[in-house]
Amino acid sequence: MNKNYREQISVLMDGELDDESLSILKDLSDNHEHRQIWCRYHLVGESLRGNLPSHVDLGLADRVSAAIKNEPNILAPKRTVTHFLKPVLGFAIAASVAVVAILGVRHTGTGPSITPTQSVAVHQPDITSPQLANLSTEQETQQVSPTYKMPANATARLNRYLVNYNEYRTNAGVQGMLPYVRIVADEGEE
Amino acid sequence: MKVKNRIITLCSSLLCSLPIIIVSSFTVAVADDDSSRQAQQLINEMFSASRELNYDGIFVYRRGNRIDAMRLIHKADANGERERMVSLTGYAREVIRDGKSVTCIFPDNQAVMVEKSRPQKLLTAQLPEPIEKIADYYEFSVTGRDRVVGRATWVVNIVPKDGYRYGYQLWVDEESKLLLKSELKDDSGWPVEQILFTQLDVVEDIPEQLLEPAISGSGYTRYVGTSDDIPVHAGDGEWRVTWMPAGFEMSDHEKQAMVANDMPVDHMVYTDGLAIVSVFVEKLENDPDAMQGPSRMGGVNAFATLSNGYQVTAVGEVPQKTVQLMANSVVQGR
Repeated sequence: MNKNYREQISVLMDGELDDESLSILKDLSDNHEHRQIWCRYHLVGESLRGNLPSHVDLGLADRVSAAIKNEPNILAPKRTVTHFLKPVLGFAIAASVAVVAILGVRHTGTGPSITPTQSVAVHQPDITSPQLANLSTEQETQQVSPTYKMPANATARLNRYLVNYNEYRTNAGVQGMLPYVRIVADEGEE
Repeated sequence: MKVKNRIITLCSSLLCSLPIIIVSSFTVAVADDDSSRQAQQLINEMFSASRELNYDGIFVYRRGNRIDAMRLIHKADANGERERMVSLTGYAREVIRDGKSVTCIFPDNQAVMVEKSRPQKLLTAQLPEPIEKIADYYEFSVTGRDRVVGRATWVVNIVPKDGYRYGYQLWVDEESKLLLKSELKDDSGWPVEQILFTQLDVVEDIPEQLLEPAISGSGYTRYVGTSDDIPVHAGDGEWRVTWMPAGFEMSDHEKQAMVANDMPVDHMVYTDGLAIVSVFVEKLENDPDAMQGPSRMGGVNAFATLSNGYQVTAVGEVPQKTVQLMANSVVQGR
């Protein structure tokens, strides 16, 4: 491992890595030793800032990484990331590594992935211009990842299933009519 | 009072520090028990209130990074229950439901979908299973009090004991017992979906016109599901779900001819008493619309797979992995 690599990690931590050097993300997801460096750098930073929790689990990133490798199926990209961006207090350090690991998987594109445009609701993009801001990253994901087959017309079948599912849900759930909110709500792109 | 007596008896019959430990653990257990029982009772009361009262309210619905507003109108009288939900944001989709049918109006697709509704077995029907059984898989507690829509509420927490189901946090109106706010939570406690009423009127009566669709739907394509289910005979049950989380059992199984579809669909319903997963199996022949993979609609996850020319789809208000594992475990034959 060279000095340049350590520098790159440091720059990545500062959020200033340029696009060309982003391959470091894949490397971090693949390489245990490099991940340890990443964790240590964060530990140093957090300890300098006096933010260390009483317990730090350095093994979490490796476990997450191993679990992802053993899992051929998929993590819906946007939500999973959101999820990890809100780590439980005290695990922030290791969790940030988990985000990288997942990004790495998405970039290598070895596993199937769901495209963000798929949703159960009848889909219509024209009314949802505010979401254009997200488009660039989503397109990127679509290009590199093979996708599950989810044809446009399938939404009709899924809607039908949902109405029938809801009928049982309404009779049995804790939310009464509220499950129908999912049919009334315009899902579009999340 | 009984509890206190028991504790006093214990104290006097035992010596020194030991009783202190016993007393404190007893007190905790009793408090948990009370909270659990109160929570379960509130849920049952909420369930009855949502059916029996007349109300008209507006709530916001958040899932992922999207938020919308809806109006919900509910009427209960001698003719039974009727409900109407309309989206106040985006397209003005509507769902109107009575004892016979569910009508979904999609102005964005110029389509109306009508499916059969399932009338309650009893007007006061509560949860499908005794709540004590559900308590094997979820922990119930009343965590405190809060205020929603200007009303005092109890906050009820339902936490699953494993990672195959979602948890719920419910804000129940102390007076009317209606649900005023709810959160569906994943295993990290992250709210997958939130509903919050911002206005709610509990009234004596709901005028008929409020239950009429605002959209005439003329010129729309109508898809109408057949009203009769095809009975399932014992020998027919060739599809089986071979994996499900502990406590799940099949509660219903029927063949349905659904909207816009001639082929009957096997619909199997599994529940642990709180969460419900539907598994649909239908024959596809060279269908370009075959689905594979995960899908999501707010807190509802779906997973579709193909098995010997059949489309198998699991749909439920449970984590993605649960519908996926269940869909992949479906087998034909004994």
